[in-house]
Amino acid sequence: MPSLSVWCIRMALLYLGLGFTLGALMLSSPVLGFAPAVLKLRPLHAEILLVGWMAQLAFGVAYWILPRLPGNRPRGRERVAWLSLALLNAGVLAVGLGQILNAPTSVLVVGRVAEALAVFAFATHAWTRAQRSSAIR
Amino acid sequence: MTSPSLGALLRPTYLHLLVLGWLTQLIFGVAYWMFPRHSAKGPHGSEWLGWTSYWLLNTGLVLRAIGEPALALGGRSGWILVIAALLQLGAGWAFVFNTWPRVKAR
Repeated sequence: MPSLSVWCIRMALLYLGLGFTLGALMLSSPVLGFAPAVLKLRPLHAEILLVGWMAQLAFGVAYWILPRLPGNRPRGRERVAWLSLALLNAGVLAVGLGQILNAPTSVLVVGRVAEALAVFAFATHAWTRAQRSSAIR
Repeated sequence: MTSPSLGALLRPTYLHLLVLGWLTQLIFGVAYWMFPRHSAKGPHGSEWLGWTSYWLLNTGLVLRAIGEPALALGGRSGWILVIAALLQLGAGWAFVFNTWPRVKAR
């Protein structure tokens, strides 16, 4: 497994554990009596699990298993993939934390733009690898 | 009960059945199957942890599917949600601990 995939998937696993922990706190909050404070975590819970866990896991696994290209760059433009990893995580933190800390709207916009750019960068990288089998090895 | 309130009542259950019961569980299963081998003796890591994650996830999900609407309808099912929360929490971390060593560079 390439190191970028290791980073992506391990980050995704950390987000999974954190997201499940927040979810457990929220689910048990009606009984434990801290509902108002804990329910504010819902946007962070959703952001962490949908983007930090699922999307990032998909990035990591796709980078690992998509067909490799002929030549000296079998996984295509590696820098673009690393850029997408950095942008995705910056976006998750900006949007997730920004929502629960009542950050200015500009922080949320920057976070969403970072996530969109991450997806675009990853798609750009993966596009060349998603080809018919005659072009790959 | 009007249909919008029924929809609102079932929305968290619906979302979690799909995102947790379908997507996350599918990921757990496929990752357990195709991630790099842990070792020659135990290619999938701890099989016990894998099964623990599976049972905790599904039992927790069923309990929350019962307890969440029941609580919203005024039932005294809060303790079911606490158990469901603990089971799902255990499922998530069991998967993390079992999968982490298999995510490695060649």
